Amino acid sequence: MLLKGFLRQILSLGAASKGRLQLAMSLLQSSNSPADIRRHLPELLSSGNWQVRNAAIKLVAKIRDEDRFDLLIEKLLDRNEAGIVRRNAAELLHKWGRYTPEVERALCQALSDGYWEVRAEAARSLASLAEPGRAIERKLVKRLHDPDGNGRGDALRTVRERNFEVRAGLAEALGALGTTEDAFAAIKTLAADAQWLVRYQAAIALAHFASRLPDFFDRAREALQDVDHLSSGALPIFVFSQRIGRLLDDMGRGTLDPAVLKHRYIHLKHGWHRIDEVRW
Amino acid sequence: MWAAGTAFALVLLLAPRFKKRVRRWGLVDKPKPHGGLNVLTKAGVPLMGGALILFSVAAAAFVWCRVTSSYVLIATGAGVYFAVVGAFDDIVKARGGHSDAGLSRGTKYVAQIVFGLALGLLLFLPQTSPIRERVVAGSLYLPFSRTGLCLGLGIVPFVIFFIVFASNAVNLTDGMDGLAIVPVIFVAIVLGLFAYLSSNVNYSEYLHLNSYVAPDGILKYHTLRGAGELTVLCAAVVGSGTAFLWHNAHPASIFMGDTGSLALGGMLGAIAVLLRQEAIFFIAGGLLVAELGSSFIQDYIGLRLLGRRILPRAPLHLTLLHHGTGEGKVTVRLWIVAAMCALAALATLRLR
Repeated sequence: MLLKGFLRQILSLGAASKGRLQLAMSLLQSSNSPADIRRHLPELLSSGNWQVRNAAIKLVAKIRDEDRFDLLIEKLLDRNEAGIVRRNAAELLHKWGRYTPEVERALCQALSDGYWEVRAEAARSLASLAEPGRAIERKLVKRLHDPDGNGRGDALRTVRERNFEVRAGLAEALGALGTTEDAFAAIKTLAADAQWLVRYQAAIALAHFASRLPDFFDRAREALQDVDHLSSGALPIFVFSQRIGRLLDDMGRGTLDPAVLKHRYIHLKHGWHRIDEVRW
Repeated sequence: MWAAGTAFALVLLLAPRFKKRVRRWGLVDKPKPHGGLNVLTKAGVPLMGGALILFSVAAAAFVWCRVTSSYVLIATGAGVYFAVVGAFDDIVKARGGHSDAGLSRGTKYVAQIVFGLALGLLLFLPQTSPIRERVVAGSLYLPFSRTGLCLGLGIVPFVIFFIVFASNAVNLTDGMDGLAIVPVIFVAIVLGLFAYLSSNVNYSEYLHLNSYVAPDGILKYHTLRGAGELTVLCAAVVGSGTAFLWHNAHPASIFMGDTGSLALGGMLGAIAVLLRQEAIFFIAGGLLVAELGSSFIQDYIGLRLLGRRILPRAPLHLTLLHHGTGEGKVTVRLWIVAAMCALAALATLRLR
């Protein structure tokens, strides 16, 4: 598949493709005319150059072209499509905000994509779009754990996901969508991750989970106290440690609000340094 | 020692005034957020510290080097040429309001290729080459072999490639406070030592530096007479670089800008070419190679051709940062890598 994409891209590096890319970028940046964009979309979507196709799906989302909504799902699932286009398709579905069974199916399927950015984006999109439920929770836990493991999430060694951004995305999704003991255990596993960014997301996820399911409140608080606050370098003002302290304070006062907690995750794609810009 | 001391003192003394002046001219960093680095906190830091480095190197060279030496003239000329290109880029960026407003990649490549071509021809043509022995001038020396690989006229395209590589490598490494200047100092130390050894009859013969097989089949040694002046120039780079680090260490109060990164890369690249030690530059500047390589793999193979990231971010220092390691720690760890590379380059002296 990689080779196919590579050859397709090589063949598309001609002047015509450059012209189409310029056209797509100018439409993306300046055109607000849906008719104008719609006129050019077929040509852009069929381009051999992934950058043109990438801009084209962004244009579809920009004008919210209802006729082409399914195209985003198609692009997300097309394993022959460039990884960045698939990732952006997942992100655009999230931004579009329409959640249908097809979208859920596609995002769940994308959790097993070979390209880590797609898996991470799918997890984040599910966290924002999906409703809490056992079925989706099971898929997330399954993605996290080794099929040969016990699936209860009580041992780090059963974690099969190697990419930390995906693990962080799964923590966010489990915090937002988990409903059972399995999900809670999986978040606890992630809260003991070697990567502090995953631990951070898992800490927020623990609080988020408990804010939705008060039965888990005391255990989530306990788990939060056990989270390793050290971060390898991170920021000189130890924002991570401060945040955990504030989460515990909020929990102590019983003022956890799921809607507020949703905004306390870091969007890792945009860089963890923005942790100090996260609204608190 | 004196050259290093002079350059060190000049940068240390002139830096405060230079920063004020540059800020008054509006030549300050206006970064665009990218790659996970918290660049917005770096907005307003004076640019063009490279001009100060180059000025102090040139001044120290003028005082302590034999200025008529063709080695010194070519190496300093390389520095000045690339500093002018870099300064133009820095000024356009500062005036344009953001870091993407500078010279295009293509324009920079053209400037680098032009210089590489000139240097390659200068080296190859007997009338202009500072290296008297034609075989040595046209050979590529590898650490594990006594004699070089004779490329003949092929040395010209190789020099072009090498100069483009050297100036871009330092340019790409210059993405965090203090990150680029330390590997540059290490490479300058290594090249300075090689310049001294190559110019000394006894050492160059003992260490098999620049040896070649004569037409009669006998192994001969060629001493680069006058190349010892490059040791003084390298010492000046070490001195000015160290003083620059004083101000450039995290959190930086001045950036070298493209003025400095292109100039230092170009100058050290030219020194390596003149000493016929390009391979040593690759080893001593292993970190620079990794930074350039990671960028190339990400931009040209990953993003342009495959449509996916091969590394989480590029260049290498941004990948480390993206993994949650703080800027200070990334910088120090990469300095350690740079030091190991420099030691590895020195170890090759006995592997010939």
